[in-house]
Amino acid sequence: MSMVDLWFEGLNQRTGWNFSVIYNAWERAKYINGVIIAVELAVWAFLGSMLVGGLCMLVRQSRVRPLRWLVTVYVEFFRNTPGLAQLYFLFFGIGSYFQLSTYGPSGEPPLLSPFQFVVIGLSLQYGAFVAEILRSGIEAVPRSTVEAAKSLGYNPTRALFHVILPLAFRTSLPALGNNMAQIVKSTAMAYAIAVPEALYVAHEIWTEHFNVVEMMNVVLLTYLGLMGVFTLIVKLLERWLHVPGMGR
Amino acid sequence: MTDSQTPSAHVRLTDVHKSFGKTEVLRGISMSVARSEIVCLIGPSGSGKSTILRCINALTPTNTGSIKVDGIEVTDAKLDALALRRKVGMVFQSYNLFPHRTALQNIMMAPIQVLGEPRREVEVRARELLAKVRLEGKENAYPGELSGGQQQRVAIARALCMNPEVMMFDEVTAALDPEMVKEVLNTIRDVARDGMTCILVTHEMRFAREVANRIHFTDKGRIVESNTPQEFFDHPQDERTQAFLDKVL
Amino acid sequence: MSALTDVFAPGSAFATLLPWLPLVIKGFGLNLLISALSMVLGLLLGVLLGGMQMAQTGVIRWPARFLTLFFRNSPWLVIMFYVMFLLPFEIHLASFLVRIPDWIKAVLALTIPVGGYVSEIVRGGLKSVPTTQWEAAGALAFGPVSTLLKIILPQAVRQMLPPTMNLYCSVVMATSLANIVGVQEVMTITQTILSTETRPGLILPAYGLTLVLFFAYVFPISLLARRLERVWQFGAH
Repeated sequence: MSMVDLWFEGLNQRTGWNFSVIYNAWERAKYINGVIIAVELAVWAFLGSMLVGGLCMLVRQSRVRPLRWLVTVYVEFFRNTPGLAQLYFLFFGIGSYFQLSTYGPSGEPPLLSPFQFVVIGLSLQYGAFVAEILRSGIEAVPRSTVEAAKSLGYNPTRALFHVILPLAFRTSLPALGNNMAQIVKSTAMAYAIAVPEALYVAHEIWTEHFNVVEMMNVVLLTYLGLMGVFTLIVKLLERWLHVPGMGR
Repeated sequence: MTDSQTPSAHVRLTDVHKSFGKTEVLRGISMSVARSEIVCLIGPSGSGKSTILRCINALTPTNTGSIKVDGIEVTDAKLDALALRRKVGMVFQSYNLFPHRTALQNIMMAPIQVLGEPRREVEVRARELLAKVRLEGKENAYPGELSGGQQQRVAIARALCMNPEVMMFDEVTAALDPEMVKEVLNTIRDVARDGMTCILVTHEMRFAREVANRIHFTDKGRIVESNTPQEFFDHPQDERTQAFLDKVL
Repeated sequence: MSALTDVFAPGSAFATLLPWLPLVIKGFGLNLLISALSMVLGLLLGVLLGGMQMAQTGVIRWPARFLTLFFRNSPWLVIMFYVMFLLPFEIHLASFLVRIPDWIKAVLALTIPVGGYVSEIVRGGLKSVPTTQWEAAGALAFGPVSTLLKIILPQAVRQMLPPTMNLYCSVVMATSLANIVGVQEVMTITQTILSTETRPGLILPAYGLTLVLFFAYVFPISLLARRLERVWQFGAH
């Protein structure tokens, strides 16, 4: 590690390119921590969005029309408004109104941290997308396959669980993978409420050293790297679930 | 409760009407199928043949009329769908099989998951059925790896694994390439020969003539003519039947 | 029930916000302007890249593919920071001093991901036209560019319109990111209002208003895109 450090210090002295984040141990640790936080945000938000989207999908199967309508309202609202505005509404609006993001009267820490707000916000936002993805996955299951299940005696619930959902999920995989990629990109938004993820840390570093160009490049590469890793994971998952003869 | 005046039919439809919105698809269908009888429904597209099958196993609800399967009143609001579908098996034209499961799993799934039968017994029966439809060795093949004809034979085996009393075939060879039609028809012939009550919707005239005990001709939601295959093909009574046969034969 | 009428009573949040409404709308207008400009520029960039992606020679195709993937996979906020900080706020063109205001930088920043997405839309659209069309055009002595413009594109446009409309919706929503880098768009103005009025009960309605504004503009477009997609019946993407 120190060989690399020395090389970058030398680079700084020779050319002025200051990749302090690499050779400065403290900054390096802080930045890596920022990347880890970004990954944690993405993973939690992904799980949260799957939970919310799955819930919506289940509610949509119910016969009670007002419930289905409620899900539609939720989905349309969160798909057609900006994530940042949703985050501000949640964190500054709901957070302060219900005293979730505020400090207590004698300095007690808030009930929900900014990190958690971002996870909740992203889960709600992308849960709407997952709900739509699952809906088209379910609609893509051929009617005659569903009827074949019914003819074999599967009641609606069993048919959903044993036949429709496994097929819908496989069909939805590419779109769910894309959803994951979108979530990874969106975690940068956490910057706005001071979550110390990669972009935020980079900002701290460049305000100190004025090495904006270098830091921006590092951040860009970081996010591209993260996207690449997640895309790979999804591709591996697709391969693992692949059934011969199924798929596009 | 069976009507004591008529012989007890296995499946009996009485004046069944079905409309989809404003379109009346079934305009008073009455027919009965005796045990082990092989009945073919023949007619132009849109005449309601498939709808009749779907009404029998309650996939499509009827508007008026009565359908009785071995004493179970299908049109009853409190119908026990599972009991009905244990008695009546159905094979569809396409996209029957569950693509995410192997052939053997497809056959075994319903008895295990729906009827709760023990896995061991079901597996033995499933393997026998697979051999019966001449697909030994294809147990672990996925539907995507099988030809259309092979898939239909697995679908037939799958329906048979539930030990039904009535088998219904809805144009099961219509979507197949010609060279695969024969193998599926052979399988159906075997099923019929074993004494199963069968109702077929089919365009395969030669097959119908050979296998059926009775043929019903449907046109615009009504059964226009019913007869034995011999009489039906050689001496059609109604002019609509005649017109149809002229077109297809 | 009285809580509901309280909302609109004088001295309430609603009454406090009302005089600010013109400013908020004006801010939102900037969002829409940014979205329109970056959409236009992004379309130009994207059509160019998309066309290049379909080229026969690798020398043209690979850089275009690389750029498309690069633009599509970078977080929009990061690109915005990039452009904000790396573009000078004024440049010298011959003897002119050109000021580049922040919002123009936002336009340029958003142009980049739009270009990447349009490039993929164009590639998908062109691919959806059967290759037989290309062959027929070639047989009639159309050159590659002519074929593209006169024969292929008109057919591909139907395929491309709904995703482009959805992209535009995303762009409109992404203009809110400009708030983070200080552009005076609707979110920033809302924050300014909140710091001026300092009523805690104002926060929810104020941000709620921004959500309503975006929704009112984006939702109809999204619906239209979906309807077009259904009517033109293009298969699964």
